[in-house]
Amino acid sequence: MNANALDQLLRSQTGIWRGLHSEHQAWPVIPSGFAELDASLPGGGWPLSGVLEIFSPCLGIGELSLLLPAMSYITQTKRWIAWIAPPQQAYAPALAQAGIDLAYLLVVDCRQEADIPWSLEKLLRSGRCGMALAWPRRLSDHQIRRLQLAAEAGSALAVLYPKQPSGAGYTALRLEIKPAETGLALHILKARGSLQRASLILPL
Amino acid sequence: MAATARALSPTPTDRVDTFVKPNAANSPLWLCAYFPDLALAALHLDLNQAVACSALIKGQTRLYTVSESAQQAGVEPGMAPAAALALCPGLSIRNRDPLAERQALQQLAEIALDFSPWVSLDQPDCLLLEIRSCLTLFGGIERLQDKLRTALQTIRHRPLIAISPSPTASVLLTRLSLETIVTDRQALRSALGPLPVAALELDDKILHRLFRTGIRQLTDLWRLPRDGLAKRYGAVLLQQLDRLAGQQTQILQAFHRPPRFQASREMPIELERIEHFFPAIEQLAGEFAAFLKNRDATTLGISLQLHHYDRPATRLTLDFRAGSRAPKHWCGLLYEKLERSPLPAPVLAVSLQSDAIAPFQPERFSLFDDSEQPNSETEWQAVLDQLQARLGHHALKFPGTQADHRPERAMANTPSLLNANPGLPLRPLWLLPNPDPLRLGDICLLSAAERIESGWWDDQPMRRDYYIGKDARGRKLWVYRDLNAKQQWFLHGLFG
Repeated sequence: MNANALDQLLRSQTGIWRGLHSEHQAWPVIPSGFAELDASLPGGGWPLSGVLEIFSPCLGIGELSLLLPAMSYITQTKRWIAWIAPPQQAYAPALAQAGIDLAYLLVVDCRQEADIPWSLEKLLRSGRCGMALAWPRRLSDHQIRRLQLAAEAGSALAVLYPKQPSGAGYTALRLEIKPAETGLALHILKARGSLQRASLILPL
Repeated sequence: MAATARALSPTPTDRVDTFVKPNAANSPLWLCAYFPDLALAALHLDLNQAVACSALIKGQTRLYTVSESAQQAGVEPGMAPAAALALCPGLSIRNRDPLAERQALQQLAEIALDFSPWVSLDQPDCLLLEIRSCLTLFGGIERLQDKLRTALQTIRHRPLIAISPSPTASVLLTRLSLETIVTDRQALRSALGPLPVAALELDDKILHRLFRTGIRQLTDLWRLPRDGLAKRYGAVLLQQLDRLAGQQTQILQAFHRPPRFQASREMPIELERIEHFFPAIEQLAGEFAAFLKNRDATTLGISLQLHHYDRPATRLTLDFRAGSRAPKHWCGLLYEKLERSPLPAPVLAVSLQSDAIAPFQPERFSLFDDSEQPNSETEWQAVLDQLQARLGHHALKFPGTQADHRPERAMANTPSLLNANPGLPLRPLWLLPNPDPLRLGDICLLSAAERIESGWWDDQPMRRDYYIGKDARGRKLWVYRDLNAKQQWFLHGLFG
């Protein structure tokens, strides 16, 4: 068996982990809108079937601006963006300024914490929702696993801003963000399909 | 001239009617129930008090309807509210609500449908009922009239009732407060004869000319030759007279009761577990779906009642975001609701009803674009229905924008066609519903001031200078200085 055939065989099996060499992705991605960030993300963009966890010290440092280009891209493809129990009021004129089509924007109020993962799962599975954002207090590993499966089924991106970091996690991507002098300091803690750890500063 | 007269005379079939004695059992008989106080009763005002409602007439507020006790004090329709209050200080005046009046009239029409299959709402503030066909059933005209009056009075409306073979004549009689009963077309002319000519719907010019000719009553008009009348006063007058005398056939639109569904199932024994009684609900849902399909309709909401022994029934309601006729979808939502709410007692019977029934609208999709599945919109609405059923009625919001310079008012919770406002300085992604008082302290301002001064025309004026700032924690803030309130600083938003 020559090397080429072996390579092909390995590529055909999505379950085989290929370490740092991850040029071929089994999942679709959407461009993040920042060339520098796209280069460090496996597949060249946000995974469109997975959970993205963003650890942010507080609101207002650019945790949403990071996703605005992707949100705009999603509404242009006529898919919905759902905000589940946002901690503050999302301001529609600002979203419209960022090029997001407000006709595909949904905000869901959840009185009970338990309704958040349920609503997320329903929306992710529907297939019409391209991105769902949530600010849960804490999610267990099996809840994140369920969300991961739902996101894969509906090929959607679930974005979580957890208050506390949970265990090992089944998330596709984990980021930590901090304010910096020149923009937003972003640190990739975990990325499915790649061992690369990257730290970069995005001008926002 | 002879040709004009022929053209304006009643149609040949009608003329036969005037010569041959009409078959009394077949010619229609119209009952008119007129509600002079409809505008007041629709506003749920007490008709025994001095009350009135006003409307804009030719750009001025004038009284539209006045209750009897206010009329005794000298108040009349058409008066200015101030003049009426001067006459009757205790008078309470409300604004007229035409929508409530129409709903009240429809409610009355539904009651009237118990008395006649043909009820028409063509005339304002009136119900017209064809009653010839139902006289035997109710035992004569007087008994029918009494029963109808009692039924209409149960919902606090006071009708004036007149009966005649011509709908126009019945309406005219009630408007003149004459509760007359005329069953025969021959007798109609003599019954209408003493009425004043001014009661006809004619313009003032013709009325004035008739008055100068010495014509005061309808009898005077009937004595005149038809061709001469047509020549001098135009065809409109003759048409009115023919309608009054029942010589011209009028087509009135029939009112139909809006469709409603109700069905129930009794259980053989008291059932406690949801999987035992749920098949009955599924059957009812299937029946309802067939009912909707036969009428090419969809439902906007259903209500399910679970009846218990010696206890009030448990009630579950579902509201759909878009018209639905998929029983599987309803059952899914109902099952989930039932699972989450424990029942107080075993179930004896279930009943399903719905009166929110709307015409079916087929889904539109592009002929060439096959990227979306044709039923994906329905599925998305079904997902939203699921969320709404569990989280409550107001849990789903669709943010939109509004054309207003005041930041709080530039957003709305309804989807809008208006998207970005070009030329607007940068706005924050998070807006605090109530601005936080702030000490500027260690916040450094990054932008020049944006003055927002607006709202002087309504109750919430504002004069503010907005700045973009950055605090020690690295947050990008939207702060303003209130120029009205002692130059106080506030935090209004966060650039997320």
